[in-house]
Amino acid sequence: MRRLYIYILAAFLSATTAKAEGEPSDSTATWNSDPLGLQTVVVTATRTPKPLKDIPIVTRVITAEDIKKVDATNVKDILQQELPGLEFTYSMGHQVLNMGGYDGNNILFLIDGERMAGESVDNIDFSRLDMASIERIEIVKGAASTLYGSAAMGGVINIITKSPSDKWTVNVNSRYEGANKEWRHGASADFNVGKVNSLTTFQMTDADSLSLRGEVSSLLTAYANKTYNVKERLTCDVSDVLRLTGRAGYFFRERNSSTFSHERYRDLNYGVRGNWAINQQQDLEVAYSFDQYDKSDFATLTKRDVRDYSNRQNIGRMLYNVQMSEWHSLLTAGVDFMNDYLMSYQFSDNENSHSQNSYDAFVQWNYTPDEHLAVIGGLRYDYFSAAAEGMPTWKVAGMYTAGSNSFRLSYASGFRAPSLKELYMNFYMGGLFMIYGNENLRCETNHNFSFTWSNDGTMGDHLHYCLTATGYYNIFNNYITTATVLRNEAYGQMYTNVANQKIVGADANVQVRHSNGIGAKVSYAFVKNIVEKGQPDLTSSRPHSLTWRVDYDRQFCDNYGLNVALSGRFLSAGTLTEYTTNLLAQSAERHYDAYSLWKLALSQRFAKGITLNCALDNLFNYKPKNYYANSPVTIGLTASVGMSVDIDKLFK
Amino acid sequence: MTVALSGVLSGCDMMGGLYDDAEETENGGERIEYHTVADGVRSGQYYIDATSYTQWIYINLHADQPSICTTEISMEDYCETEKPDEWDFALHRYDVKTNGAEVMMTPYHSIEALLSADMPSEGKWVRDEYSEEAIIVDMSHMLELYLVYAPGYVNKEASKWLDVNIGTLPDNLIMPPIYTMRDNVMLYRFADGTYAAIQLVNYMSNDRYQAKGWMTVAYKYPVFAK
Repeated sequence: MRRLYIYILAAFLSATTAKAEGEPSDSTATWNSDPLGLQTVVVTATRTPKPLKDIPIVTRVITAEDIKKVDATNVKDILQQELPGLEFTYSMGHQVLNMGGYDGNNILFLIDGERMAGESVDNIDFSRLDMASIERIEIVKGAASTLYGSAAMGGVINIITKSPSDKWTVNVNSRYEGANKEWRHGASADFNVGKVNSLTTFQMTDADSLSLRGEVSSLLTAYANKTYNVKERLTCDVSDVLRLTGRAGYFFRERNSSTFSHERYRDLNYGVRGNWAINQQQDLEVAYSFDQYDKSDFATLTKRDVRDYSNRQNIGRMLYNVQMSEWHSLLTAGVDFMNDYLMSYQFSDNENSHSQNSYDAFVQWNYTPDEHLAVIGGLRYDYFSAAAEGMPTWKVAGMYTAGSNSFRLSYASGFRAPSLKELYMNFYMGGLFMIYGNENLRCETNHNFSFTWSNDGTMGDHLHYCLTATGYYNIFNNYITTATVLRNEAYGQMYTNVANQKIVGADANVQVRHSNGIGAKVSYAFVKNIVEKGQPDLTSSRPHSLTWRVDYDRQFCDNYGLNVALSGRFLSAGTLTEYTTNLLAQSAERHYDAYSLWKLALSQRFAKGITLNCALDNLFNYKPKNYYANSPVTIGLTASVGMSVDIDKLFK
Repeated sequence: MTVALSGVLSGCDMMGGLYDDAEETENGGERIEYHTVADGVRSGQYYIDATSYTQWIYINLHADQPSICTTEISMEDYCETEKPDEWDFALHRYDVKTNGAEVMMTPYHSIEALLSADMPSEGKWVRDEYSEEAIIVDMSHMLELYLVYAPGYVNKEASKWLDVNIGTLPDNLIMPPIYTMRDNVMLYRFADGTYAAIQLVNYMSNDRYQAKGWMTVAYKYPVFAK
């Protein structure tokens, strides 16, 4: 059966090759020397720019081109489509994340390497991640605390924004999705004045509410939402060796949680960064950033907008690189400081805000003796003032390349310091029971071992391929969750460290692209959490998941090109342990059916600068029987149309 | 030095000016927000603390100045202490009971709209009903999968002004509960044949905690007087 598939694929590729060769000479297929993007320069795994295939630590890259091909609405959609084993679900009315057996708490999101303030259940407010300014998304799975500190246990997702362009560019775009009546409008402008480059981006979304009712009694409401996101970045090349970057951004979201009260979320952030190339061997980066994320309730009747949550982060950091050519080494060292302030309605009346300082220092040694071997090692120490606790982390990784094969072996430790909320919470949950913080919480820690084999190359003159397979093993200690406690003669919940667990898993990825414009990518992930006997597995992982995309891209003439992409994802059935109440002793196993979601996207390019997108999502009209926590938030088949205009290209 | 720097950084509030100040709630903050009398018709709005599961808050609209008084529910025999002689209706959290009245939920969303439309010809007048499990008086056993109820009378029509869905115990607890408020004007027909228009304006406190159970209620009495 497998051979039959191969023959069919080969026959299809041959046929389309013949057609491509028969095209007029002015027909240009989308083809270049690096069609799979393996030479893409990435920064997340080492905090220094390096080609993707030369790094001992596996990095997955989602390009702006990938985002276009699957017609993604937001970052959540593109991550789910490209990464098997990553699932966004709904809890407490907000989106929550699970990736590779880890909660959202253990996945660190960054924008250009900078942390973000604010929290929505178990991670940042994902709606802050607008699509307007993304150049690529870099994903490093596994522990990375040696470079990024707290929360980088299950992985780091770093959103890299567009680089300054040499010429002016202006883009406007709109997209409408019918079933949810969701609009998205975006615009960006990039231009140079002397030595200064300006990049301005804007995005707004407006979505109706969704009431999802399963066949049984479950009901999930996704409330109507509006978001506005505007950013400005100025980059000034003061001299050949010094670049200064300043940025500022404002975000606003309003969620119509009831007729009489709307939840409002605002974020204001700014930062400055200096990059100094001291000489050919050394460079230094110094940066300061501020991020304030607020939540308020707007009473529609009284028009009062009262803030009940404010998280402010002041971060200073310094990063130094020195190239030691005679030792085939690159040494990286850095220090960071963060002041984290949190005012919250979930704290007690007499102490409604808390803050803490954290400090860290790290060093990383990157040794590349020849073209076959690369070794990287790192050490770091973090200190947190609230818990008066220090946390060392370390890593070592190596890569050996022989011909088209490469082998990577790595160990890394990670941790997550308890948040201010987990330390000091004192909250009467829904008028029902108290949730208490715990000042004696210890850091969650993990040890991550992984082995990766990859092979890339060409088959004939027209087919590029890349295969990657990874196996990993994690030891996860001091998992933080809530447990029942009797206090003041009433039962409540208190944050506590619970039993340790192990996470084992495997990822496999196959990617091919043919010069005739056809490409395919299939990724598979397996994950299993192993808990001690009698302890609940609360990590909500489905064991098997698969994502795929087949696309055809061709530029037929100067004024017309198209991309057709059929993409999808499959998640296996899972029997997951959930609390039936918030009492730890009262957990039950809940079965979730397997499901797959398919999407067909057609993108047509006209007159160089105009792109028209149409997409059908959830092609086979899948609807879950019950909208429980781990069910996909889908109402069945939906259609969307969109248009994007690169105004500058119309004039070039 | 570090402490001072930390204080400066933590105090750096760039968006503080965007918000309204939270109201201070001294002594509970209960009050008649306004009350006017014109041609014998009393209208106004009150703001009361109905957060306790073991209290009834009694309101008397027949008095020139509406009176509000609170009783405690005994957890031993569920009897109330010092129940007032004269009252029109009472609140326990979002539950409502009346002093022999009937209640109709009207389709109007302001008292003035109801009055300009005249007496609704259609609609259901609902009396209080007795139940052995009328009101929840103890939530502290929620995590042990049971709640403690007290017997008594409740007017289910009037109580529709706020629906609190916590799902069903033990398997489908909804956290946090889903609050669905109806600002439909409730028309009360008291035992003496007079009518009052009652509307829930807000069920959360006006301070920064937005605590649920603080009831802002608009009223007009008497209405549709012959």
